Amino acid sequence: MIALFLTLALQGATRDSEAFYYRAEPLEPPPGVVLEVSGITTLPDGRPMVCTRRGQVFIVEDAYGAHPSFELFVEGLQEPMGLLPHDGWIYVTQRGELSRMRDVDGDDRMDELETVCDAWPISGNYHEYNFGPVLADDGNFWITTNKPFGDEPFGRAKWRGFALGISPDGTMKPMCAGLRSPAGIAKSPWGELFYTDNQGEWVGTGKLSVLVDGGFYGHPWGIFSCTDPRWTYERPPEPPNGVKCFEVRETCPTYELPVVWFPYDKTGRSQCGFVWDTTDGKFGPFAGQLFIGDQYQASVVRVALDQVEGRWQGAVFPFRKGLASGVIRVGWDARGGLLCGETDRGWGSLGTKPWGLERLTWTGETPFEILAMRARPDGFELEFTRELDVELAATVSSWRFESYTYLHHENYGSDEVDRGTPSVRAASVSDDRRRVKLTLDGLRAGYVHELHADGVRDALGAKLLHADAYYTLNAIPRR
Amino acid sequence: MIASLALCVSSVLPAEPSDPSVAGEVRIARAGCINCHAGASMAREPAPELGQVGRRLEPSFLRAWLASPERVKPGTAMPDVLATLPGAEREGAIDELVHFLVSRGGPFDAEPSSFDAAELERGRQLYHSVGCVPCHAPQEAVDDLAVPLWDLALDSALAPHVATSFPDPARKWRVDELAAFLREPLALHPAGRMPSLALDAGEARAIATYLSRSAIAAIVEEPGWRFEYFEQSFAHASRGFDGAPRVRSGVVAGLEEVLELPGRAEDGFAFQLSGLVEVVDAGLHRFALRSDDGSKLWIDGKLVIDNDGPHAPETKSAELWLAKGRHELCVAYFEIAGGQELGLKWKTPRGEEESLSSSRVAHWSLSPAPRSAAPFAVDAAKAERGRARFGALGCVRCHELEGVVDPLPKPGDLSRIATHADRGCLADLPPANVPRYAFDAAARGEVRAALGLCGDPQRAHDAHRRVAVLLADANCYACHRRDGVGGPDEATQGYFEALVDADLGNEGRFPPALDGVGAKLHVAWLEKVLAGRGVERPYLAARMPVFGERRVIELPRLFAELDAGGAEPKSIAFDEPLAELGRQLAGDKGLACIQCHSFNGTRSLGIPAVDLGHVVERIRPEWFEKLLYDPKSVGMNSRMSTFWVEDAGKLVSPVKDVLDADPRRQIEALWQYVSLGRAMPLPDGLVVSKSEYEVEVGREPRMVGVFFDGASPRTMLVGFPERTHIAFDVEHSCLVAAWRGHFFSGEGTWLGRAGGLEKPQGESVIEFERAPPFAMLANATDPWPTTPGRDAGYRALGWKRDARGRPIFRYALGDIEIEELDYPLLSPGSARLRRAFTLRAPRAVDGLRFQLIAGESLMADANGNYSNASHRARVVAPEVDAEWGGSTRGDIRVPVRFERDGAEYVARFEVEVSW
Repeated sequence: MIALFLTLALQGATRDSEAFYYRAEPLEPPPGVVLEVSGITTLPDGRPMVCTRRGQVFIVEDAYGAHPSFELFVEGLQEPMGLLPHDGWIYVTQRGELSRMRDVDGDDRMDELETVCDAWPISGNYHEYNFGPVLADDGNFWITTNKPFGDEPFGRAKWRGFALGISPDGTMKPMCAGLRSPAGIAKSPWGELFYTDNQGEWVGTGKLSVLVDGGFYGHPWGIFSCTDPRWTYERPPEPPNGVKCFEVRETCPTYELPVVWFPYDKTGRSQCGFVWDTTDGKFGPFAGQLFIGDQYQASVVRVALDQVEGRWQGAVFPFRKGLASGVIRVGWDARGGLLCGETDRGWGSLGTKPWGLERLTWTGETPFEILAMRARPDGFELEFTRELDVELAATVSSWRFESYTYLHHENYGSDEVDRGTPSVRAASVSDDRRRVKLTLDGLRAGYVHELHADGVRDALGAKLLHADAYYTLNAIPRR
Repeated sequence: MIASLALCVSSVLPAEPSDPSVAGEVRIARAGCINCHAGASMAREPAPELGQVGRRLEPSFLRAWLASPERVKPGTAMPDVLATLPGAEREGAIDELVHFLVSRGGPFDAEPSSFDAAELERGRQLYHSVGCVPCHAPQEAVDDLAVPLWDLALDSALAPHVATSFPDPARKWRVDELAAFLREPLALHPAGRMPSLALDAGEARAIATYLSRSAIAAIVEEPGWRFEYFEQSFAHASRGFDGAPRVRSGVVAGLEEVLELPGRAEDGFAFQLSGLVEVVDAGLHRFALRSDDGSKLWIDGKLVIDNDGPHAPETKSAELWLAKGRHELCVAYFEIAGGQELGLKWKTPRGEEESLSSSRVAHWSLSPAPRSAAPFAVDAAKAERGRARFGALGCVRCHELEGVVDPLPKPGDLSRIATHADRGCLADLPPANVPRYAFDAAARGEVRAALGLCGDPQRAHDAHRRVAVLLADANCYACHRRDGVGGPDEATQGYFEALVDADLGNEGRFPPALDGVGAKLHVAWLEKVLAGRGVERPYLAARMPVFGERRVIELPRLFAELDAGGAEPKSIAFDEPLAELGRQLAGDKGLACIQCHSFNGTRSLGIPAVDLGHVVERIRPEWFEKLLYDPKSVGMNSRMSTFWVEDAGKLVSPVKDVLDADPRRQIEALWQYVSLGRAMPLPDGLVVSKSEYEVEVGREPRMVGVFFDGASPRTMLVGFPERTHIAFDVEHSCLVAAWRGHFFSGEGTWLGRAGGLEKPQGESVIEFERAPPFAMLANATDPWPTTPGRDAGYRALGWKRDARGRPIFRYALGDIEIEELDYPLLSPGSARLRRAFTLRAPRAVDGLRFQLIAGESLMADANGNYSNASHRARVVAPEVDAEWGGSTRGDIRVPVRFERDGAEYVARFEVEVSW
């Protein structure tokens, strides 16, 4: 599959390939630099800045020209995982601290680094990464902390598997517990914070969740930290082992269900950094939606959120595969291109290279895609990027659904369990030929509803670029 | 096919010096004259060690050897001590001596040795390249060696023996005994003339196999792989498994079959397999070697796949262009414990993919000739009589042997026999009861000439003559030329090879000439070279031999006396700014030394000429100056460039903007630079990335954050261009270690999910006290706190980069903010690290102290240095009285004096650590 795709990309993209709509181009570092990109930001002057897992920070000069160059801003940071320009400083997470750094004399080299907060000792475990920071609307910097796996040579440390809030004066307050491998954190345009977590024990498959003060996200490892008085919320109980995920809340009242599940292999394996499309159309027709990097599949997937009964849920869509290496960071450049920071280290990747920095740009061609999927009391409403072949879209056999959910348990990952096949009773197309309302028998709250729209064509007879969608139906709207 | 080679083996020297007394003196030493004719200033010349001779050597060889040493080994130094005995008594004496000698460690294991074709070929190539040939003569012609054995017809593969300076080893040694001797010749030949060539066990075994090939009776080509089985636990695969004993050998169709062999151990075993594969289409062949645990594959003697180390089943592949014809495969495989797997596949240019088994792979089966004699049984009575003879015949004089008494009176010492040197051993027809040496008339003349010098001590001790004697005695002349004598000759030249295509011409093949070597090299360096610890020309296939110390120990001083008039090397004070100019001159914008020379292991851009990081240890500064000014003046006119050009009647440098383009001053700067040795910062223009994990320090300091063993998981390593590096524990605000040389290679932190604990990777590592740097003490003698910094109230504040890119660490203790800049100073010979501190407080501070140094037994010297077992420390500024700490583990503290500076109080001080 991947091989076939790459072949197409090399031959010159055709209309049925992703590359026809979204072109990937590498930004090559100079020889000798290992660019395992672990953080991306764009400076106020439009120049991208990236940090790497080996602790270097580069400013990319001439990023929009034919020959970008990389200028070393600083090195010696310990596994920095995110960059955030704020107030004349660049905030950056390291393993052992949140730091901020700046160039004082304007030579594009760092002059000062200040330790903002180091209130969490670390144990010396490879997995002790910290992700972020994100500046929340409450004025605090939020980071998420990966839990350790294996040796802890300097002794067990608190606050792993947490979201931590850090005030500008450096005071740390743990905000959310029970995270596992929270490799992405970002602020939505409306101010809520979201994070991604990775499949493993107590995480049935990769997920995107809203970070809520005092929330518990299901992994019991870090709960012992909550006896520390800095944890001011309800102490999470040990989670039940082996129940369906939507049943956890029955015994863990602060448990937060994910906004979307990422069905394993179908939509990725290792979700990392993500951004909202704030490009106002410069990146194509998906304004306001999320783009999420996946390390294993070297891909970017798309999420369209849907608010039901005041809570977020939504659908995942395949978007762009075939990047050079595992995508762990995404960030906008100053012209609406999506910079993809890549590394395959530690977990492997379908990409052909060990690391890299690529830019995805919209070619201006609009792909025929499911733009959005919204829950209705009796089914779903789908919106498309182009006008539909009305006859085919109104045929119920053009649409096929499956549904399943996940177990919350200590085993590594969960199968898709309690499968069902909701049937499409009716399909009606809107007057503008861009929307379809599907009426289903067998909708189930708490289940992923997987859609295959293989029979759908646009008005000119073209197939969907991606005919699959995965909607996490936490709740069925009443109206 | 095999050229026959004639060699004159009876002369002492490959090139005779004109002075016959020199040859005579060498003969006297080799013959061991001194062992009977004691001389005041001369040491004994021990003959080969015989304590275990019965285990090592064939009894039939001992018999033949005693009957006539000269016939078995023409030109031997061993005299015939039985020559004048009547026939029957002579036979009886030989028999008794053989029984006695065999009783020393015997009996000899008569089991025939096993032979492996791959080893035979490897030994053939090694014998002719590592340095055996210059002394012992080649056994095959250079052109023939270019063709591997398996491309020869079976019957011509065993080259006939040609005349060498030793008897056929197959008649004398078992292969493994010969291999042991080749590996450590000095253990058996304490006189030290047979040198070590630093052979590893596999190499020694291969050469021994080759030299013993006359014991191979037949070669048959058979399908399948030949294996050798080792029942021993290894953690690494190597050719021959370090010379471990082979438990058995045999044939299998495919590699995997060795795991099915009955009777092998469950775990803890190893196999070596060899075979020949026929390549039909020249082209790229892909090999895939799968194993659990480790394995390696060699093709035509070159390591192609390294799948080494204990591991679960793992496949490693490599692609290789192979010519049409046969190629030799060799696989070494070991199993420590757990699962077991082994397999080898290839893919041919036609795309065929298959396991390499007997349909493709053949091997040579070499069958040893059966040993004729029944096992030798020692007759105790004969052996006892042999012991008496060993003393009475004077054998024990040269071959000292426990349990043998020397009953003979000593004859006159060497200085007295000079006047009647036509009698005794030196008579044209020696009388009965004196050992009979294989001296012809000319040799006797040489010996007499040498003895004649006993009356001319001045000439006898002439340094020039002494050097000639020593070089002849160890046969240095076989490889090295000095004063017009010696060096590779026509017969041996072709056997000197370059290991890599060094593009150095003959300098890349031949050992260097020794003319003027005493003016070039330091005595200490020459001593290192002679002891086998100084290899400066890794591209030469011929290895520098290591002789017994007694043979060569005088040479370095004699060279210095002759070539440098005994003068000590010039002493030059270090000048840092000049050294920096030298660094610039070495780089691409200067004289571009980097084009040819390596710098402390960082490779040159071009040919692999000597590493300039080693110059200061090797080269005398005067010679360096001469070489740079005019390479011809020191005889180096081949590859070394002459930089200077004539301009208006004087020589000027093409580098105009440094030191007024004055060649002399630029040479001075270059010397200053190279005098830093291991501390040399790299010149500009070198390509420094060795591997993607290597953090090479160029012009700017390099920084890496790591987990650090014994400190904290939040430690910053700083690599400085001065090649002295530090580790600073950010968590505990504490300098933890410093080291020199190699900075950091990140596999331990960055390879996969490594995330390991790092340690200093270079050399001259010193570790600092894992304690807070500052403490508030009520009394000067209060014990220093041992709580780590963070727990003692220290807070990390971050760091700044100074104008030179060096980190200034910032931390706080309470309301005192501290800045610490640690930086090395360039310093020839030692490492120096400055530590500059600035402390600021919003109030007056009293009682704060800095710990200068700690350790078990601290010493103070007159310069204000305090030292522990690893390093020294002193206060540079301001002047302050250090205090001795009161704890049992001693430490030196320095009071920190704050002064008012506007609204705050400030203290500044600087200390220096050196080691």
